[in-house]
Amino acid sequence: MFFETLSNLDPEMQKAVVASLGKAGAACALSFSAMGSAAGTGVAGIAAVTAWKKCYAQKRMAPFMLVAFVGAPLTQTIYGMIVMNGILKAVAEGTVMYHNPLLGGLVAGVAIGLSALMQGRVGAGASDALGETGKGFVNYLMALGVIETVALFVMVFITRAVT
Amino acid sequence: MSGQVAMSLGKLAAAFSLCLAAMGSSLGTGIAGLAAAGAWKRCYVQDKLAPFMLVAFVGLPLTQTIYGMIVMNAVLRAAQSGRMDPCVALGGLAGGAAMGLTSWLKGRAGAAASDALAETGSGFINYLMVLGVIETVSLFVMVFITRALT
Repeated sequence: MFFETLSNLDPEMQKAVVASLGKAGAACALSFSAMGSAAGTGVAGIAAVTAWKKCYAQKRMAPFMLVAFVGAPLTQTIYGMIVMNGILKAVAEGTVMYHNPLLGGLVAGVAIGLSALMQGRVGAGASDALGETGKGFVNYLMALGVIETVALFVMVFITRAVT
Repeated sequence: MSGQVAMSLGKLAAAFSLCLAAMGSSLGTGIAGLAAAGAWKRCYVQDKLAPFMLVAFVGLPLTQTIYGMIVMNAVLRAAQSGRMDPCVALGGLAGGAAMGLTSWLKGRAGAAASDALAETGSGFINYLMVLGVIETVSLFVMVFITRALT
């Protein structure tokens, strides 16, 4: 039905519809990444606040480095923005149809966002552990770095499929 | 127009295969990462040596993203050479989901391995063998699905 309607439109209108669907894909890439970042930083933030509270209550030094765990899932929004820019560029050049920028942008955003969410959950565990023991900062950072790599891979590799 | 649509759907299959595999990798590394952080914490609390090798269990589910990328490249090559069926996007979706599921469950097995290794300090090779068996599933999907998608 949609294909039929699209092919019945005059060529200029057809181009505009295709471009607008492509732009929706670009918006999805950014927004879903940002949703993941919001969830990830939120979860890690709650854990960091709780860990600091425990330290203050027990009159121990509160490790400021927990901020690093809270901030780690923020980078995924930047990756989403880079994917968005790639899609927008391809749409402006008129070299793509709408299927791959629209749905490809959506799944790329979800994949990047999910990595941010899981990074935030691991960051929460790391905050609790570092707050309680004061040890292992590098180990926790390595685990967070591995999860970050998933989002980095998606950002680098997806460009060929959505543009 | 129909050639362009087929090309666009082929690229969509490529995007599906990469992104669904990456979603599984995110879940897998996340679950294994949580377990590793918990296991390290327990070691520090009990004044035991915290085994750094737990990072290997956290990193293993990452490989499925690479497999997804390899399938993606094969599909893109086929799409660019014009040998592309418009229904192939579903194949990309299924292939990516299979690899992603493997990755997720590998992360769950890696979480159990992290807990076991941190508590007992032994059995690293055994745990790695189990994770390797799960890895083989996605390796098979990667190798065999390429014929169906290209």
